[in-house]
Amino acid sequence: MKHSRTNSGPPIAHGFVMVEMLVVIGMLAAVGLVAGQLFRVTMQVQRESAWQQIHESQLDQSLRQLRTDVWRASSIEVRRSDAVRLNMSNGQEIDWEAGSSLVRKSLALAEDQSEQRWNDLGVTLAFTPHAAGIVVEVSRGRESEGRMILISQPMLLSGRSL
Amino acid sequence: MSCPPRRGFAIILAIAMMALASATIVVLTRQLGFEVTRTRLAVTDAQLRQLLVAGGRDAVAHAREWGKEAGVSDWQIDLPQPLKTQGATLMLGSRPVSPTMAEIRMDAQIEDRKISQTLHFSHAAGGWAPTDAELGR
Repeated sequence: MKHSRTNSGPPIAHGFVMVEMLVVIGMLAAVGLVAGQLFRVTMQVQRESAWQQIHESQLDQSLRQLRTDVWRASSIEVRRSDAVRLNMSNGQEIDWEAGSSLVRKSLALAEDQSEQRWNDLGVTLAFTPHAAGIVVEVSRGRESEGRMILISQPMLLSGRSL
Repeated sequence: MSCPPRRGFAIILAIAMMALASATIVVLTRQLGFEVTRTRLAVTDAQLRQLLVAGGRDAVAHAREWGKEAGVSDWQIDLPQPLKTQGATLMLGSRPVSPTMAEIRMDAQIEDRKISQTLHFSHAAGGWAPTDAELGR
C-alpha cells in the first residue's frame, strides 16, 4: 500500500498499489472459477442422481414383472433377441419386447392392464433361450452391464436343468 | 490488532463453497445408500428365490407320495446352518382344490423379507404332476 509520512506520527494508508489490486483480482478470478466449477458439478450430480434413481427403480420394477412372468411360464419362445413370448399353462400368452422402451403385452382379457410400457430404463435388454428359462443381457450403449438367468418353475420342475 | 472489515467477503465465499461441497457430498452419500440398500435387497431376494426352487423340488417329491387324493399337511424344510443363522425359514402347506387338482403353497423368509409361491398340481394317470407356479410377495 502507498503510504505518506506526516511530520509527527505513523504512515497513513491512502489506497492500493497496482500490484495489490492485480493480486486480489487474480485471486478473486481463481476463486470464482473454482466456485463456478463446483456449482456446475453440484448441479450435475444432483440432476444425474435423480435420473439414475428413476432409471433404476423403473428397471427393478420391469425386471420384477418379467421375472414373475417367466417364473410362471410353461414354455418360452425367444422370437428375436429383443422379443420373447411366454406361454402360460392356462393358455395365456405374454409378449415382451425390448426396443427403445420395454413393453409387456398380455393377451389375457381378464387382466386390467393389457399393455405395460417402461420408457426410462436407460439400458437395453436382449433375450437368449436357456434350458429352464431365459437369459437377459443388460447393456448400456455398447457396454454390457451384466446378465441374469430368469428361471421358469414349471420348466425346472419338469426336469430341465439350470 | 483488530480484524480488517475486508475479511467478511472471504468468509462468505468460503461458507458458500463449503455449502456447495456439502450439498454434493449429501447427494453422493444418499445415492450410495440407495445403491447399498438395493444391492442388499437383491441378494436377499435371490436367496429367497433359491429357497423357493429348493421348496419346489421338495413339493414335487411330496406330491409323488400322494395317492388318488392329495393330502392336507404343513411342513417345514430343514435349512443349512448358514441360512438358519440369517433367520431363514421355508414352510410348505398342501391342500386339495378339486378331486384332480391340488396346490402346495410355500413361504420363504429371510429376516424380515418374505416371498411365497403356489404350485398347482393336477392328477393324471401317471400321478400328480406340477402344472403351474405362481410367484407372490
